[in-house]
Amino acid sequence: MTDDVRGVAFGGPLERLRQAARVDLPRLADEYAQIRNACEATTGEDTRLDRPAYFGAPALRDSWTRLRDVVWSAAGETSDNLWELSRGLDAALTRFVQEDAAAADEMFQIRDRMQGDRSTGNDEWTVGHDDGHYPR
Amino acid sequence: MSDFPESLEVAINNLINTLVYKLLVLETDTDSRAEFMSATGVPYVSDVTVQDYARQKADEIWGPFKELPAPSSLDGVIETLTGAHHRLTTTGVTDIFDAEEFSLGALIPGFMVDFRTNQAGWRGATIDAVRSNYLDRWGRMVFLQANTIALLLLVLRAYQEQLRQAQNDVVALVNLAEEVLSSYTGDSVCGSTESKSLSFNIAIGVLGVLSAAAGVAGMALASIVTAVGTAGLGITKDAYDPPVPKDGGQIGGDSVTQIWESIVRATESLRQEYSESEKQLHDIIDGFQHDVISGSIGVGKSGQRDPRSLPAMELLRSKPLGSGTSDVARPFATSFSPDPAHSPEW
Repeated sequence: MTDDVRGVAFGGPLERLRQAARVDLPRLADEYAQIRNACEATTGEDTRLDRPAYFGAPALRDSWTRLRDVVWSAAGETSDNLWELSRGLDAALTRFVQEDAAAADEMFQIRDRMQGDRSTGNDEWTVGHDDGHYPR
Repeated sequence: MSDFPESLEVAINNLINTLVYKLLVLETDTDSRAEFMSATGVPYVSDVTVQDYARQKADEIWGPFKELPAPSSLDGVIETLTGAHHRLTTTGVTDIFDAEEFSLGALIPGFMVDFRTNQAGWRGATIDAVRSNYLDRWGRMVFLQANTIALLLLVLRAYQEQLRQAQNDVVALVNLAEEVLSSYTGDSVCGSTESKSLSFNIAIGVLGVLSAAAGVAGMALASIVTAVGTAGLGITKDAYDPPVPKDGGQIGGDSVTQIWESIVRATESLRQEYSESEKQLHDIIDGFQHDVISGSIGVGKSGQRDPRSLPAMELLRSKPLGSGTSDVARPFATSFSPDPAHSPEW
């Protein structure tokens, strides 16, 4: 029979869950938000692909912007869903911290040892999520 | 030398002045003037009528070139998309295995590695869904995203080169036209000036960008096509090869009228080359959209031999987890889990 890890031994995994929820996923969500914003920024320049009708049917603008919109939408959705997962894992983390005081103490000690402080400046979670704008 | 479009305006003015001069001073016989009137619809030859006709024709065939956007006006979009691309990879993504291992030297793959480490050992429906729907698919997601942005960038840079070459070519054409017309003397039965041939540079310039693997995306068209091909995605349109216009840029003739008509024909060839090149760039993007983005891709990592496949549109993004995000259970005491004492890099 395999038992769940508990108490002090649970402090390490808990710290990893904290990092996943409050560092890794928010960072990923933010990177994808930046890609989404970059795609959105390019929409302001779409008219650069226009040119006089003399050169024939304007073919490139439509196909190029359509493919750009695919990436724009994918980056926006990815960012939002990663943030949603981040919130879910953070809720689980809070639950475990409340359930298991010994594990929580160990987690905080590990964090102190690794970071030397508990500065919220090191916690990307606190910045929140920019849910921006993208084609849905 | 002045910048475009001033350079084109100067060239056109010179050409029109030369045309008027040659028609009024050299071609004074009735037949020559009749030929010009017949070919152009000018009611009679005078400096005013020829000027008016030539000015109107110049607006019609060269005016649109003046309205093309400045190539540098695309710099901002290219820079913005390059920044987005560099969040996914700093090496280009030509190999699906590199994408699956997240070894792409950029922030996003690096954070994915961190997350993979930190979720190890955890259990529950949410974590299971994270592994099957996110971790096992992220390689393909990054691969698709990075290559799609690389293709957008590459085609944009190619189109920028097309604009640059079109501007250069049209100025060269009008300048050469003036040169040929200037040297016309009208004193020989067999024609009095040599034809000159002008080579257009749109296709060769665009091809250079698509094949050079230079600059922002760090990839050539062929490497993107090969990459998505070896990843099991079909793509049929990878070639850029616009046909050379039949008449080319041959400028010359035995009379002022013939020379003028050859100038108009050469301009039409240039217009066709522009149009055809742009269409081919469209076809490359459209082919990618149709064959790759609208196609299906095997799910899971390459080595897993998972026969299932999903639409690329779905794999291009992290979807919501069907099981929700709250079902998380403790790791087993005996399960492998990495030492927690690694610190996020700040």
